[in-house]
Amino acid sequence: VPDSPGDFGSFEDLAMPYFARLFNFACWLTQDQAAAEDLVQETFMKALKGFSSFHQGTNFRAWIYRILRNTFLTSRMGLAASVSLDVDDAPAEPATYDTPESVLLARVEQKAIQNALAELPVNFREIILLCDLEEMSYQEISQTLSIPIGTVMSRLSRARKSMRTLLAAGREGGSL
Amino acid sequence: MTCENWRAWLDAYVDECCTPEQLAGIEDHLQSCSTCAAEALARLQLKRATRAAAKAQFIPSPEFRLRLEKTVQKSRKTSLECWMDSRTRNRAGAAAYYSFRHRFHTRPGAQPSDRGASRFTHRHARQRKSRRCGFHRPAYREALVSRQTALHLQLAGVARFTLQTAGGQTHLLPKQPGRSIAI
Repeated sequence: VPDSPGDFGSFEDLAMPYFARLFNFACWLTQDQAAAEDLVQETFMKALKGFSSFHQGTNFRAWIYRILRNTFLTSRMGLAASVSLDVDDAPAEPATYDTPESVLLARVEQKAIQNALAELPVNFREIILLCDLEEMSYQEISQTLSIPIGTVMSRLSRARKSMRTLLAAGREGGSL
Repeated sequence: MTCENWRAWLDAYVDECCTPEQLAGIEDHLQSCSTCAAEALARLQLKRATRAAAKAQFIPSPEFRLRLEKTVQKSRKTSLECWMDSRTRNRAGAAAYYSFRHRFHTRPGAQPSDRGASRFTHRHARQRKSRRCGFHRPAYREALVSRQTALHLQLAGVARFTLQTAGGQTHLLPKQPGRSIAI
């Protein structure tokens, strides 16, 4: 419960500008619009309930995205998606830089990237979306995902490498 | 540093999350290494393409937005009522307690004090009584409720008191028959 009635007005002022973005992010996580609506609604309710714990002047975007992400991970759909999340400690595959993304990206359509994003494991998908779509800094991503900045960098690197692999596989499979 | 070392920083470079020192080092290297420059460009293109592909891919319906706003407003109102109600209950309880004690424990010549009901709830008063500390001190004999408390009681609309000003003095009047409290 907020400390004063005046705080109630500011919740909507802070949260509603992120409504459409949160919905888009939720759709990418859940891959289902109805589930995304439930997720966004639950996120807003939790955020409103816990708004008194939010410190004015700190990063509201990271705070509300963290609520959405945690709500998703604790949902049935999120639990199923996060079964194979522990890949940060996996040994690094040898880097291959011989794929000319510039050439590849000239050919691929948006649909190919969307398909690749959808195929990524949820922890890779979310970090790419937070970084590339939401344009969060590593510090903000660290706050949102509750992981150290070093892990943000390594996970992001792996995620992009997986995405390049998926795009390359799509090209070889003739889907582009 | 080798190209392999520099490439570890290329993601941070395209994400604009480098320190000024790292940025200067990377840019120096990219000017002298066409392979790494091509790699940096490719990563930047992938980042931009991902953003373009993912941006506004899913748009919430106006009905959902309206539904959410209504739900938030309803929840907000409920929370506000609970908040006001809890404050009111605490303060109304304190007011009732001091009213009761004023009736039975006022001694002739006691002076009113500004340390009143707004600072103590039932629980605090009971604790003080159980410790036999301060209960009979004159400072606690007069039941005073701050004007702010009275306004809270009125604003909440659930108070058992109304505010009435007469003869330059403000009184909290119980809605049910009983003794008024000067504030």
